[in-house]
Amino acid sequence: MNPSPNPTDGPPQRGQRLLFVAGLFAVLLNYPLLAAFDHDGRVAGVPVLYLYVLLTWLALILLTAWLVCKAA
Amino acid sequence: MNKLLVIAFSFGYLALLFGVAYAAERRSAARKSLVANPYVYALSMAVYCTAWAYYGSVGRAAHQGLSFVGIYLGPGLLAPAWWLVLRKIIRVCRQQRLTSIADFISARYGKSASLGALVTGVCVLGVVPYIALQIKAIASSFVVLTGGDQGAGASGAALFAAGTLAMFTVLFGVRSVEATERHEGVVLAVALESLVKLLAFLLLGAFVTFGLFGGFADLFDQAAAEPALRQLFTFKSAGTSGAEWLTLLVLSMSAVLLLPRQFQVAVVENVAEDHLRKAMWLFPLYLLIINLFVLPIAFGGLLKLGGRGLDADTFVLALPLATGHSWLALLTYLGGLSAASSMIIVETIALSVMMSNHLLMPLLVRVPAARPEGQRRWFAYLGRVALTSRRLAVLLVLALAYGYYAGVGHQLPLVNTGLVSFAAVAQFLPAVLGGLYWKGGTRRGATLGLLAGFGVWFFTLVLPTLVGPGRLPVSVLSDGVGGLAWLRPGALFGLDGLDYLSHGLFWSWFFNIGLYVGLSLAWPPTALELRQADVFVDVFRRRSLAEEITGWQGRTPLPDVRALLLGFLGKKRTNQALRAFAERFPDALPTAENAVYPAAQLPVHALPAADPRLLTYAEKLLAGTLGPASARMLLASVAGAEQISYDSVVGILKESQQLLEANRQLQKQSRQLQRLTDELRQAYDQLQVLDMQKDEFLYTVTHELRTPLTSIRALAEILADNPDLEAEERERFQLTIGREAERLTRLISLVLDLEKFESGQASLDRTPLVLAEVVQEAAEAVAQLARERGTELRVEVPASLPPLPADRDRLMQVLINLLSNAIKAAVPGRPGRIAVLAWPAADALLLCVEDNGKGIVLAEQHQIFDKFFQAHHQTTRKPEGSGLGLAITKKIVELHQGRIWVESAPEQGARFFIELPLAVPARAAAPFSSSFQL
Repeated sequence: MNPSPNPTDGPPQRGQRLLFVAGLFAVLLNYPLLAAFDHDGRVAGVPVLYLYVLLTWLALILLTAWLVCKAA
Repeated sequence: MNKLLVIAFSFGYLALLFGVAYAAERRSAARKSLVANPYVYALSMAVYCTAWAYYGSVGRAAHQGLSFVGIYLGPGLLAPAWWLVLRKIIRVCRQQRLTSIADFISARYGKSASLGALVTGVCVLGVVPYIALQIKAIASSFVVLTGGDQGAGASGAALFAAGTLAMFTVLFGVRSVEATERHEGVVLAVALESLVKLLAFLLLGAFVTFGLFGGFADLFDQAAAEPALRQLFTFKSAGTSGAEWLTLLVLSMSAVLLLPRQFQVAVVENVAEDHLRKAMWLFPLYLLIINLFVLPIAFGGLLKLGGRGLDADTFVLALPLATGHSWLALLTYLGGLSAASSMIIVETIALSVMMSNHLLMPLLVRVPAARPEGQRRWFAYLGRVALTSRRLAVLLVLALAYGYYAGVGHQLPLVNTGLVSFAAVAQFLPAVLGGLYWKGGTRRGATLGLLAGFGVWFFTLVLPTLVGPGRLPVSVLSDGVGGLAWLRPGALFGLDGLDYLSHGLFWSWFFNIGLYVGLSLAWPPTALELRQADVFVDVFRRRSLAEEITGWQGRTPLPDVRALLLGFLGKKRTNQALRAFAERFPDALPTAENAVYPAAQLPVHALPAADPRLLTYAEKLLAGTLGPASARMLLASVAGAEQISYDSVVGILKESQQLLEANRQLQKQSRQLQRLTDELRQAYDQLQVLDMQKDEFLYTVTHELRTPLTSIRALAEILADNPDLEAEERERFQLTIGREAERLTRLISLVLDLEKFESGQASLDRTPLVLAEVVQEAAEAVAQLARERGTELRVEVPASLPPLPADRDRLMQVLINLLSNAIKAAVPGRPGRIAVLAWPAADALLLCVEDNGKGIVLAEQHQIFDKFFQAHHQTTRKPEGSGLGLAITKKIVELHQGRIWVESAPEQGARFFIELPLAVPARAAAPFSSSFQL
């Protein structure tokens, strides 16, 4: 009934590393840290807050992709 | 635009979806799946972006700036954790054949039918307005595009859209009675729609940013010039608080995991767990890209169309229309249509299965228990009922959604309804996460927590939307229900100062989590709950023993089970499933000849009984069709009550824990054993080498002994055989015999010496020595030899050196050895020069014996301290010693805890260095192998 038990899918560290990344970026993208970028300066025309959120988000995606593909 | 043209394109687009879905189903039947890859999987997850994202994000951005992005950033933040959470849900659902969030929660908490019904109810109430929202989006976008009036035109478009999508869903979404079956046609269509909406939105965004404006900088520059728009650049001035932002993130995280449609595409339609790996970053990337242009479009709309009093939700269409790009507007409209239709299709499928399995089936399967004789026919009938009821549920859901849209939906802005839906679904989060990671959660806690959370959700988030003329009075909001100030929906119990969403989420989760955890702790779980908890929480660690052993114990005739499966699954699928079972458990099914007896000819007690494992298997098969609660009731109607005693479950769980622990201990011990084995093997190898060296040593020693013996014997024989030998000759022979015997004695005493050192029996008699005296004495001992060879011997050892604790005789032996070696090393025909130098080092004395002899090649420098090294080279050199001198020297130096080494080059002499410590170190315990070193 069950598929064969396979307790260790991938390296055991992977889950923990991914969880750490999720936690880290959750802090980066929330108050109080977010307040540091919540001012109306602009970089290359784009408001700082927009740019910060966008780039952090992109970094999160790239980091996840790297962690996930690394062991493959 | 021309109405007919828009209608033609809409239907053309939907016809394309039908075609794609049909093609995918054909390919799937031919086992050449188009959807079994991570890219389609990730794209199908993008069903998360509905018409609300498509139109509503721009609307929200135009009012509140960046805060809309929280709804897409939340899933992005959660995605890395999918590897732990979502993968576990997928594994559990595959093992237990669960097909919806209601199945999941119901199965986890003791396969409770009432909990399943409750979850279904929450889903329907929470999500139907959300579907209505999509219908509204289709209708109003149609109206904006064709320029008709909002009344009749919109309703007509909405009705047509709902009708077509209902047809599509019934055709491709409800095909088989087995809900575990994947819908490849639907998935491919949804993936395609995700691509369409992405491309359409990007095109529009690029058009606005680079066509209407001169790029991002220009657009934001123009926006910055207007104070009202400049306010939207930051959270602070746009009025988004930290709490609201956090709430948006949390809400969207739970939504992407638990919304019925997300559960459907991410869990039920998942082909392989491994696809998750790519989806974990592709899906967030999709969300990022589709949101790139939301703010530019919002600002573009505000700048270009600001004065016209347009709803910001329609900017997406109004911008290209206002600038005369009607084809772009049509494309954008189709993108919105795809966003709305994919959401409607998948959400409806998921809801219809839930409604049929959790609202209708539990009622129907109770019926036959009263009349056993009609059971079989009733079951066959039920299978068809299940399928039909799901189709009807599709129609019902869409009818409800349309009704909601027609009734109240007109006034609602897009984004609020969506968020309220999210908050409804977020009520499942405690029960789901608790169910996955905490074994203590119980049915009672989950049910009451969910009920309370749902109640508070309704009070704080839904009630305010019902206020209006002809409905609830406004005083409810300002004065509280019944005039009670602490019952204000926006400030429950006087909690003021939060935005409505954070406020609602806070209170609903407060009661939800509080009751869930509190009640779970207050009453212990039942045996079935305990078993299910074990199955869910430990799904990755092991197969639950409890599930297999404490299942259906009663004696159930096999034909009854077969008939049950036949009724629901049909002949083909039943045979297939039983074959699969027989392959897994060859011992559980009776042999074929037993099974062919017609059941009617045998008395009941002679019928082959079904193995308990078969009953568990059948229950799971049926759970994939009817949901876990109905399947359990159905099986109970055949097999009698499930006999699970609390003690046996606890016993087995404890046992399996102990087994696990024992297993861990065993593994640890076997690792230790392995290490010991390795060490032993190393020691053995070392012994082997030593043994070989010993043999070699014995061989060389005997060889060395034989040479003088042979010459002694030969000379003695000559003397014996020739009595008339001349006296001078005889004397010469006798002298040689004497010398050879002396050499033999010396060799033997050296060997004995060496053995003494190696066996560790040698001891030192250390006394403080003046090195200069000892060296002088040694020099005198070899002076005769040096003179014979014409070698100059120079001693430069200062008398002021500190006294050296050493064994005088041994040290003398060392010095004489080195000096005589140096003398022997002299090159013939060149005057030899030998110097003995000494100087103090850190806490030792350094002694150097230097010669200008023939030197030692580098390769041999570390071998010369080996026993008989010289003897090995008898063929190449004439031996001038025993070959043991340096070996003994080295032993003596080491016994003094000193070091000896050589620096030399061929034809340039050699320098032997000895370092002897000044303080006598405590004798270190000899390691295991050191006594073997030669």
